[in-house]
Amino acid sequence: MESKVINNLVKFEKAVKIIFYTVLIGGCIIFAGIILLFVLHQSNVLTSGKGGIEFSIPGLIARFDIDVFAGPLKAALISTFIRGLMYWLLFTYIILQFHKILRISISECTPFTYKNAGYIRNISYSFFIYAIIDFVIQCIQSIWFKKIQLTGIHGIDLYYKITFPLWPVLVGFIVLCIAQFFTYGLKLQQDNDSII
Amino acid sequence: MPIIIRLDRVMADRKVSLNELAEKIDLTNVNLSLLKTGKVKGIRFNTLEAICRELKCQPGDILEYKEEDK
Repeated sequence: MESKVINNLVKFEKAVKIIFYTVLIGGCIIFAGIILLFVLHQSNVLTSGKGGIEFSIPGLIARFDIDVFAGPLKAALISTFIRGLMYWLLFTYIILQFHKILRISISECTPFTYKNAGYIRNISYSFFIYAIIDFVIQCIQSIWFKKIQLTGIHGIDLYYKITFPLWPVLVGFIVLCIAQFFTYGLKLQQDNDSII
Repeated sequence: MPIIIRLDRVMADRKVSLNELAEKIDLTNVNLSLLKTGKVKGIRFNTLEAICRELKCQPGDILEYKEEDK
């Protein structure tokens, strides 16, 4: 590959490395903080009005008092926490695989290697595993928390419902197809290279 | 593979070195060496044409078919 392309890839690799560590360390701090709050609440160190969790999405902030751990939302919070943890793990793993792809592309001077095809395949498997774990969590959640149906909380009704997550399966399948095309292209390239 | 490359024999007859031939037919030494030792899956017509032109030989002088032992 041209040195200019390699230089760009090196820059990308550094940026992805920074993103990876930010997501990893940031996620660890957030999840450790939530666990700590939960533990402090369970051990009666933190009482009502003395702490809470703030969720922020673009354009919206939701503040939950520490009391939510004791209220009827406890089960919903646990499942949200587990799902959030899974999203984070999936996202971190994808960034890690992408970082490996960039590193191999720089060291081998080409992105078209069997190792990279393997990393792309790993990304697709992670989506499948995510879908399975999500489904299992839903099943466990509906069995364990079946009796806690959250109805009539400020006009909001919450029920547990088991649905198989289709989007990770679809994304995983598309990524797996890309990995297969990649492997097939490599085989063609290898065939072409062995004809002088 | 039942197709055997006899390039080394023709090169020795014409007293042409690997580097010299590689330069004349615009092929890398590595690729010509692979071809000479039969470590390739195929040979392009234009490569064969260039080799025949430089060594003044026929494709049959370079390639030989030998039946595989059953």
